[in-house]
Amino acid sequence: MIIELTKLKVGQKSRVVSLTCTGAVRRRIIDMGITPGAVVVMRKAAPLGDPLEINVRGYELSLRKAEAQGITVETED
Amino acid sequence: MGYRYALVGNPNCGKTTLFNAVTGSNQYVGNWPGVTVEKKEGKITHDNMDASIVDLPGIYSLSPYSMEEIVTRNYILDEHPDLIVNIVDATNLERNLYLSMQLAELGIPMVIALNMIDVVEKNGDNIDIQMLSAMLGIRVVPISAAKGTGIHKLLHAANHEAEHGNDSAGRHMDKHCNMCAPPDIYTGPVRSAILKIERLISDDCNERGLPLRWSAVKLIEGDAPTLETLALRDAALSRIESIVSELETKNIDREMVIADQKYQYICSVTAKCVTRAHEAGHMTLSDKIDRVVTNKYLAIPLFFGLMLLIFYITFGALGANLTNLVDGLINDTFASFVREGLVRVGASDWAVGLVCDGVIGGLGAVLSFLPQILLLFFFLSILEDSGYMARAAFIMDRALHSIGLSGKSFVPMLMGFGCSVPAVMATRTLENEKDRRITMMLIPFMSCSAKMPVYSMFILAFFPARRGLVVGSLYLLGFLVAIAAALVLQKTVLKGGHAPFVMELPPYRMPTLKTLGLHLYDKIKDFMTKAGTVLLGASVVIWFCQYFNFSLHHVENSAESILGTVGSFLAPIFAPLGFGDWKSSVSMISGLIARESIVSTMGILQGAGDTGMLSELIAKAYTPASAYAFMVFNLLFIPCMAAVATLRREMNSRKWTALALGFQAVTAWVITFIVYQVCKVIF
Repeated sequence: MIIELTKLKVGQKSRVVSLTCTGAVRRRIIDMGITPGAVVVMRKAAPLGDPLEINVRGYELSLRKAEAQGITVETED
Repeated sequence: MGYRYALVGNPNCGKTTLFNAVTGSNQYVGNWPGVTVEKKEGKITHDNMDASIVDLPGIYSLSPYSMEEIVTRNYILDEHPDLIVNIVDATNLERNLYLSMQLAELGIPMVIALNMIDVVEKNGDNIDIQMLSAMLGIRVVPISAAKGTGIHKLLHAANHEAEHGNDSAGRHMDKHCNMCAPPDIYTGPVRSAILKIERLISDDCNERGLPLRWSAVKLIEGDAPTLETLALRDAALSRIESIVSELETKNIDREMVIADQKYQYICSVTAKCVTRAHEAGHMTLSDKIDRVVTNKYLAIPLFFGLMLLIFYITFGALGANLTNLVDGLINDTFASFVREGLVRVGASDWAVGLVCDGVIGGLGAVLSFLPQILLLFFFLSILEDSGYMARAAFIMDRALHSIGLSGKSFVPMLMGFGCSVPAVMATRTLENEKDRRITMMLIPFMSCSAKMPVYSMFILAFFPARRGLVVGSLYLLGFLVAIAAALVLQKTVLKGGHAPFVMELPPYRMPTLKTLGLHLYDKIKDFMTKAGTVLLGASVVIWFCQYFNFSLHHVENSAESILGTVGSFLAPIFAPLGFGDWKSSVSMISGLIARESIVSTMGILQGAGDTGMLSELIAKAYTPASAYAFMVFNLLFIPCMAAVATLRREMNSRKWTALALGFQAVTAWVITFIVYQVCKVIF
């Protein structure tokens, strides 16, 4: 199933399909290893609901929902 | 001349630890050529090697995204170091190697220091170093910067590479470690596109001194600085445009295609070289700690609990006792010893006065607060080194977002409780210029450790029983004013969209005693230097100006002295705030030299011999309301000159610096006025 990264449940694993975000933040997201095919696991949301914590390429990355909305992923099931 | 090495790596990969390990105490802080940004340089002290090493800011990539990336990139491209020492976190290989692959394209000899190899072994994982070296075409030396292992080998490898690495423009044969030229990481259409572009631009690259592979790759990514430096002709540009547009597919556009290939190559490398004991997604110790520390319900109470604990220890019984101990040593034991000595050798009255009241009285009042300052720094260092600061940013981002800032601003602001100077420099991690400016303007409102002695002085005189409440209220007030200021600035001079927030949460690490010791040693050194130069000078000048009048005659009543005259002129400004006497205004202004100077000046002007006597004299000169107002103004007013100089440099604009200082002065006056009026009613 292809969904926005923000829609992943905690603990759910997925693969990056494409990036729809633009500008400087897109460059940063790419540099941080979020490229098509990369495995992303949803870890949690921060106590106040935003930002999110994901695991990508073996490390923990936090990004806001606004940024995560620009990342499309495919879940395994 | 010896070789020049550049130390490059991701943030949190142990770069500073390695730098300290190879340079020992042989470090000095210089400025970047061209732009005035501080850089740390040191001489390598191992085996009499003649080489110097520059510690470049920790970065994830060479994209011109944050200031630190621009600084690092320009340094390598413009200064042509003889060798790059690329430090790579072995526990986070994939993302760290992404930067390595970019660095490799710069055509500068390079060695990889594979750090934290001990942690990898402890986890039961294994990395085939030989295979990794061969596949990357770069010599890899496993090290543990924290434990100091592998450093010798690394430096030998570096020396060897620097000597032989340039044999054929970075692509070399190395008989000793069976290494051949670096493999081409690009495949298929991307590879042929790069080769085509390389042919097109090779003359331009030679002319401008840019590495060819790097430039070709950057042109595909549409990198603005490279386009600008190369200044290609229109024909070449349109040819490149058509080559690049052919590369793009539905999901992978030009910006992504290079990163995609790099990561694919890295994955193929790690798949062959790394054997993991656990599957991906295995719960590490760090994950377990985070289950509590960033827990939905526990995170925020824990954060505030931690802050309270730190302030309680620093300002509570422990800090106060240490302060009394040092105060007794300096102001009783040492001062009376010196006074007796001077009287015995027959020194004149004014000389005894200058040394004992001016120098020792002034500096002693300040020095006695050193233990508290060190305690606060000790805790802040632990928060920083352990990785908790990033969690604080994660937890607080949502709250800061609502005042238009990002969680990343939170880290410099917390550091501001220690000292504004490093805090302002820490804003370099903020990518957005608007966020950076606002954060820099807010940092001085955080109560830095140098403001502590001023609080302690007044608290001792007026609120000894309610120490915690008073100090707490001041820290809180600073924080609230910062929030209000952020909102005001956001709505007026610094409008603009919300900055993005993309931040790594590094694994927790046990802060090592050695690093903590180094932090504290630096702080003591800083403080002693400041005491010996700025504060000493200020104390002498202040003592002199209150002892003599404008015609250099000794005055009995110091109100008639030089200082008294100047102070009386300034006093009306402070009168509505509750402390309109000349001694207060002079003390406050001396706080612009260094905040601690307020205490030493006050000591001299009130004619106090030690902290106990000073507090008695202050109790007579102020009311609780005016004392509190004085503390508030001290908290919010323009920071010390070291902080102002840093602001000026980091803002890189006279206009913005002036605006920031004006804003702080006005805010301080208005808030203090309100606080004083309210306090008059309450107390």
